[in-house]
Formats: sequence, structure tokens, C-alpha cells
Amino acid sequence: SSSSSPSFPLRVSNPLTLLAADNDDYDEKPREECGVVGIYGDSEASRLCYLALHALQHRGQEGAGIVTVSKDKVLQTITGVGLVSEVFSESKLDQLPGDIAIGHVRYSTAGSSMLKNVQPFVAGYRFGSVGVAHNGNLVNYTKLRADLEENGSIFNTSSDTEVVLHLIAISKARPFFMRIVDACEKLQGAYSMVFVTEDKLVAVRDPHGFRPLVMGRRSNGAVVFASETCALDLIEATYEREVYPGEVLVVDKDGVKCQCLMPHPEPKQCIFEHIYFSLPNSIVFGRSVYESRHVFGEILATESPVDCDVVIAVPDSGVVAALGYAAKAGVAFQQGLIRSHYVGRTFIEPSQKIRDFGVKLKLSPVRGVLEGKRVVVVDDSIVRGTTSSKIVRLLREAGAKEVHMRIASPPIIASCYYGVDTPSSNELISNRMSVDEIRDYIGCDSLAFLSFETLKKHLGEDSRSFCYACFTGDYPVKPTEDKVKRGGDFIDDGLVGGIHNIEGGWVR
Amino acid sequence: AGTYVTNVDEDDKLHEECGVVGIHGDPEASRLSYLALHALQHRGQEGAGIVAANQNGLESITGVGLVSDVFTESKLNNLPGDIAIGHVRYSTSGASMLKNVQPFIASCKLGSLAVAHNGNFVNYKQLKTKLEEMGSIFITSSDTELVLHLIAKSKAKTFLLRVIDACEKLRGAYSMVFVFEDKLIAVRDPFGFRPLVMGRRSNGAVVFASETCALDLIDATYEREVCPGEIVVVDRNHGDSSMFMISHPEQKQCVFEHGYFSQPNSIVFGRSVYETRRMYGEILATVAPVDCDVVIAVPDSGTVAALGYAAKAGVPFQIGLLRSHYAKRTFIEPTQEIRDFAVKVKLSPVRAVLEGKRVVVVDDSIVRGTTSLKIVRMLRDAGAKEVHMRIALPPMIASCYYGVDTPRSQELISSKMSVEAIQKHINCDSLAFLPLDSLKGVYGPVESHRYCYACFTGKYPVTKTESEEADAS
Repeated sequence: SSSSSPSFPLRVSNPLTLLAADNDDYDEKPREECGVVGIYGDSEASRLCYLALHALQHRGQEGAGIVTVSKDKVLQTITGVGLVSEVFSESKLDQLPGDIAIGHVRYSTAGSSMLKNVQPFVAGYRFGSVGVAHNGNLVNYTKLRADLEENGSIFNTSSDTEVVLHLIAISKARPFFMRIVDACEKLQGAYSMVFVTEDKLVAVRDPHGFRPLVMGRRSNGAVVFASETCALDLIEATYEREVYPGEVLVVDKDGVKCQCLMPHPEPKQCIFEHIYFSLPNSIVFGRSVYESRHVFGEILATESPVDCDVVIAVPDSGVVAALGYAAKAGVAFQQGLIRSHYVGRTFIEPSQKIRDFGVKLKLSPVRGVLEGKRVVVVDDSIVRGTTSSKIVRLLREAGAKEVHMRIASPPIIASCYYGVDTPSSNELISNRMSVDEIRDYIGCDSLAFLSFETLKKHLGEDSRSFCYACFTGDYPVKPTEDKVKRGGDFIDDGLVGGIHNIEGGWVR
Repeated sequence: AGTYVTNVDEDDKLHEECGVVGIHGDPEASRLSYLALHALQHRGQEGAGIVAANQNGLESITGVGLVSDVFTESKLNNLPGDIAIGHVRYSTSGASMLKNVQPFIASCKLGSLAVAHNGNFVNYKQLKTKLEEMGSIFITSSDTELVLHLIAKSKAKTFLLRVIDACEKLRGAYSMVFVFEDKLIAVRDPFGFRPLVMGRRSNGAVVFASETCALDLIDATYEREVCPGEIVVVDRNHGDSSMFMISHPEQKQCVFEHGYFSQPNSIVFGRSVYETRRMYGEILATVAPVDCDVVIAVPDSGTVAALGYAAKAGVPFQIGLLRSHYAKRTFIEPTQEIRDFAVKVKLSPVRAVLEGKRVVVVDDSIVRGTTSLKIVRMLRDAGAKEVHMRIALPPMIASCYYGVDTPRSQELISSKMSVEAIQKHINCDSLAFLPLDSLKGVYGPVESHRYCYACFTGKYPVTKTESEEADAS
């Protein structure tokens, strides 16, 4: 007898659904939302800017852009969606001659990136052109935008950064840097920004200093600004100092001039730069990120010891704290979880659900390290808790006898309004559950966080210079409105179709 | 501006030249192949392809780039069927050629077949010449195409016998998967140079893959290795069955699969890659100790050996070098030379770990020595007081002809310099390699005979009858 032909059930799904589904795994970590670069006085400013942006790729992977000033004083822009290495090519960089440049990398807070929201932004106004790249978040954006629109301004993007350009344009102050000061006095929230005009590079940091911004110099005298020192390192710029909270630096043919905005009695630098965002080889807020993380791990081992056979990390950002924990505990550190570095933002999955697929795609357990062992797994933070529960399950399925989770930061109970994409407060697991309840939820044998008091004690005299709003709910600048960057904001951006339509839309 | 494009991958590492996947009996075979290929991406990043068998015959999609670049939802929807094979490829030349991306499909008298191959045929040129004299034409520069011709030319009556007939003519390394009609066939050469494992999903689907990490991702349970010289046939009616070609008294599995190529979480040749690599590091600490303050690794592949070294030496392991995971194969560099640019774009030193310290840096191998030189300089520039380099494999003195892209023997620094001379050349304070006898000691007296050490000794299990001509698969 003949057998019937087999049927081939196929999944046909909405790509947006895939994006949304995949986002769940990505939303498990807080997201830095930008890296910025500025270069003055180097004939290859755009190339160096491109390399510096590459070094800051961990701060944003969804969009990148560079603006340069040509010999005839025109601001030229190339921006695109994707990684730095995808957006720029040799021929594109050749279209960006000039010895002044600013650049930006961006992480999108919505499911897909929009080209028009990719910075740097450039605008023409009465006295010339200005470009800006911004890391941070302006908490009074909505009100400022409404006021500006009331007075006749029109907006082309849904980015809060655009209000800065409008404020500069309407300012009556002179010279240029005073317009920037005038604009900044109206802003509330977090901003580390670089501006470029026909002949100047300007760097600004908000009075609280939420987001990092450093200054360096190349051996040819060129001045460089960047979010992190790792960008200076790659382009052989020597780290000189931080841009101070509230400082405005103007670089032109006469050198570097400093001005101060409203001084503030206490800087409020983002502690998460040390916990998670910055690269371990960077110096941020004047301190080594590596040393901070190592100490966080050591403190955890002192505060929350447990009998175990091996210490492992959730790679990559949990590794340094795990090394600190292991060293202090006198237990071997092993690579119990291997991270895949080939995973793109979205991934096609089978319609028959593979359990914990999103985590399995990125993390692989090493059975040889885990089987029969009492395991301490160190991570830098817990946000919603969904990824943590999958990791615990992954470890148990790979043979771990016990799984003890140690988190190298305090519980996150509140959302951030200063440039970090966090879920709203009520989505944060630590906002709703006690430590014991979270432990039960994620299924580990024990759970401990770095204690907030010990974190502050470790920071010593500097402790007052950091923002802890996400651990305490006490905001240095009161959020006066809901979070600006939400998925819904992008619905009416006016761009029809998906990302593939963007390819031909380079802004020039 | 000049036209400076640095090929940042043209550095001191060997490259595996393929990963293969085969799936039989799952309605989503092509999707699962795609995921399994993703898990094997470390075995090749330049091209990927999948062939699925369905009512319309064999359908293929191949492309240049990463798995996630080549395949989309809609493309996979164009590959229905419950049998699929897949391939990832690393190009041995500066640019990838779409025509060389496998799996290859061909039609012959018996019907259509497809093949994906990991390995290299050392008698490719000789067989190609003979086949061309008999009227065959070659469309690719890949040695794998040879197999299709040999199968087509064979006078044996069944497909399986034709495969055996073809394999008996081949010399060198091959782990291959074929799809023909409703059959999936896996073949491994008698020496077992390249890995090939078998697994099963809970729905009964049979999976073959180069490494167990591919099985893990798609929830297939590792069952066993495909044995050297074995041919496994899976079909709808008879399940899986196996037979052996001419058996060979000694297997010659590639020791570099443990030293460098495979993922640490894989089981290769029946052994945990992680545990094996860690043992290399521990032994190195025993045979080549040095007073130091910190042990670091050249990431990522040197990390596990460095952990072994540090544990044995009783010295802290730290992350002294960070690897950028965003560096592509080519990178645009400034015309004003940034010193050691190609290394700097991929590796960053952590000054906090290195400054003022006596550092042991563990790497898995040295090929030409160019990257090692730059790494030592980078570490010193970041403040290291001393730099002691420890290599967790023996010195490589000879090229590989079995599917590993190696420079010619005379380009290998260890084939022309002593350890002391290399130490001076790369400017470290001391240098030591894992001795070959110690490497064999990891496996023990019986198992050690089952590995190929040709790149460390120059003694080839399969006689090298010609220089490598094909783009190995």
C-alpha cells in the first residue's frame, strides 16, 4: 500500500511579533542608551570618530552616526541603522572630510530602530549650523516640547534631544556657547552632549553628572571627548580628565576654554556605569570599572557566603564580580556558562517551542563544570527575573546539585529617568517581591544581593556623588512626567514599512 | 584618503573550515538546521547553507555571511520538509564565493543528492584530473564537489554502495552528511580527523552535527559519536542502521578540536572540551612554573587553559584582556598608522589588572607569532612589569592537510625558530609550550594513539601526495 504524503506544517508569523517576543529576553538587562564622541583638530576626524564609536558599541548597537565640518564649513552627516561597522564603509567615511567630528551610537528603546532618530542631529538656524549628540534623558522633555510647539517650533523626531536644538535656536544669548548655557539652564535630567559648529567643538555635562564624559588628547594635539576611556584608548588619545558635572568646554583654534553651568552641591553619577554599562577596562567617574566590580564581588562573598564547589558567572558583565567573589571565598572560578557572540537582535525560532529558547541561544552550560556541584552563579543585576529563572533551570538541567545566585548590585526597585531604558517600576521584580519570594520565583537554593549600605560604605566619601534612584526610589531630579521613550512614541514616526525600507534613506 | 582596509582576521589563529548538520524526521528540519548551524558559527563565519528534502525534491538556500545574515523567516519558509542538511564555512581566501558555499546539490542517474562536508581530500587534484579526463566538469573550486562526481560515476547499484565506493577512493579527512530521497546519511573517514556526533530529539528525529553544542540548542540528546569509518543511514522505513568501511587500526582525530576549534561546552571525540583544555593549562603550570602575580588569557579560546594554569599555580586569574565582539573581519583604519591597530581593535588591556604586575598570559597556540608580539607590547604598554607567555599546545611546526586552514610550514614560526628565539622575537620575559609528551599524557597511553599530531611533528597519517589545491571544506 502507498503511504500518504507527509504534511508540512509551517509557521507564518508577524515579524513584529518575533521582535516583541525576542525583546523579552533583551529587556532583562537595563540598557544604556547612547555613546558619544567628539574630535577636534585631527585631519582624520571622521575615521577616528568611527573607531571611537566602535569602542563604544556596547553602549548601543542599533544606530550610529557621524557629523563632520568640511573645508567650506558645511556640516555633513552620515547616519544609519545597525552596528558601526555596518553603517560605515571606506567610501562613506571618504565623504566626511574635515578635522572636527562628532559621533553617536544608539540603542533603540522600541522594537525597531528608526533612522530619523539616529543622531547626531543637525539643524540650521539664524547664525549657522549646529550638530549635537546626546547621552542621557531630559525629564522635562514633554513640557519643553509643548512650549516650543506653542511658539511655532516643529519637530522632526521623537527624540528628546531635538529640544536642545530648538532651545539653542530661540536663545537670544551670544556667543554660541552662551546659547548652549541658556538652553541647558532650561533642561532637567541627564545629559552628556557634544556639539559641533562650523569652527567649534563643545562638550557639556549636566550638573548632576549622571552619564560619563571624558576628555583626552592625541599626540598631535587633537582634543577628544568620549563617553568612556576605552574609546580614547583605541585611537591613542591619552585620558586627561573627566568633563565635570555642570561644565561646558569649548574647543576652537584658540584652544580649550572651560565654563561652568549652575553648580550643584552634589553630583549624582550613575552607579550602574560601574555595575553593568561601561567596559571593565574603562575609567568612569575617575574610578576603574574593573576594580569596582571585583570589589562588589568580594563584598558579596563576605556578606553572603555559602558552602559551594564552584563559582561561575553570567557572562560577560557578571564575570569580574564572580572573580572577586571566588577569590574572597577561596573557591575556584570556572566558566560554567559560555556566551554566544553571534546572536543578532532578532532570531527565528521553531514554532514547536524549545523551552527557554532565548536564553539557550545565548548561553550554553558547561556540564563538565556543573555536574554534581554546588554552584554559586554571580550576575550583576536582576530586572524582571525571567532570565534568572531560565538560567537557574539551565544550570540544574546541566547537572548542578545546588544553585546559589549572588547579585552584585542592590535590588532594583525603581525605574530610571536619566537615560537608562528600564521597565516601569511595577515591572521590576524587586519592587513587588521580597528576596525570599524572588528566590522561590527563580527557583534557586539561595539568593543574595549586594547590600545598599555596604555599597555606599565602599564608595566612602564619593558615595554622595552617585545616583541610587533605582535602588531607593529617591530621585535627585523629580520626574515630572512619565518616561519619555516608550514604544508607543514611535507609532506615529511616519516611517512606513520595516527596517528594510531604511536602506535607501541615508540622511545627508 | 588612502584605501586602507585591515583584514583583522589575518592573524595568528588557525581556522576550522566547516561545520555540518543533518536532521531526519522533524517537520521543522530546516529551522532546526538553521539553529544548529548558528550553534556551530564558531566553525565558520563566511558562508552558510541549508538543503531540505520535500515533495518537490531538494531545495537549497545558501549565502555569504553569518547564519543570521543568510537566513530569514521567509527563506526558511521556502525550505519545507522533514529532512535537511546544513553547512557553515570559513573561507580560506580573502573573499567568499557563493558558488563554494555548501551544501552542494547534484543530479545523477539515481536521482538528486546533496552533501555537506567538513575536512579535506589530500588526493583531490589527482582524482579531479582523472575525473576530468573521463568527461566530468567542475563548477566550484571546492574539493567536496569531487564526492558528487565519484558517486555519479560509480557503477554500484544502490546509492549507499555508491557512497562506499566513492569513500574508498578518497584520502584525507571527511565528516559528511548526505541527503538522498528519504534518507539521511552520515559518513566519517576511517581516521576520524574531524568530529561528527549523533543525537535524537524527543519526537524521534535523528540529528547529526559536528559538535554536541548544536544538539544542545535544539533539544537533541547526545547519543554517541559517528565512529571513524562508519556510515550511518537513516530512513523513514528502517530507522537508522550503520556499517563500516575498511576499518583502520588507528584513529587520528584532530587534537586541535580540543585545543582550539570546538566550543568548551561540547563533547568532542567522547571527551569534554572544557575539561581537556583545563588539563592542558594545569599541566603547563606544572612543567613551566614562574613567579607571577596574576594569570590572564588571550580571550576567548585561551581562557579555560588559563583557569587551569592559575588554579594549579595558586595564583589569581583575572580578565586582563577584553575582546570586542563587534569587530568584523575587515575594518577601516586611519591612514596615520595606529600602532598594532589590528590587535587593538579586537583586544583591550585592563590596566587595573596589569599595572605593576608580573603577568602570565596563556594562549592556545602561536602560528606566525605576529599577534603574540603585539599582545606582549600591549600588555607592557598597559603597565605589566613582566610578561610570561604560556602556550597550551606544543609548538606547531607543520601545516595541516585535513581541513584546517594553516599557513605553509615555512611560515610557522616554530618551524624555523627555537623557543628561545621566539621568546626574543615576541619580546616576552619567558615562553613555554605544552610539551608533546605531556599532551599525550592527558589522553593516556591507549587513547593518545587515536589523535593526529601531524602539526606538531610533521608526521602525517595520510601520506601527503600533493600540495593543497582545493578550497577545503
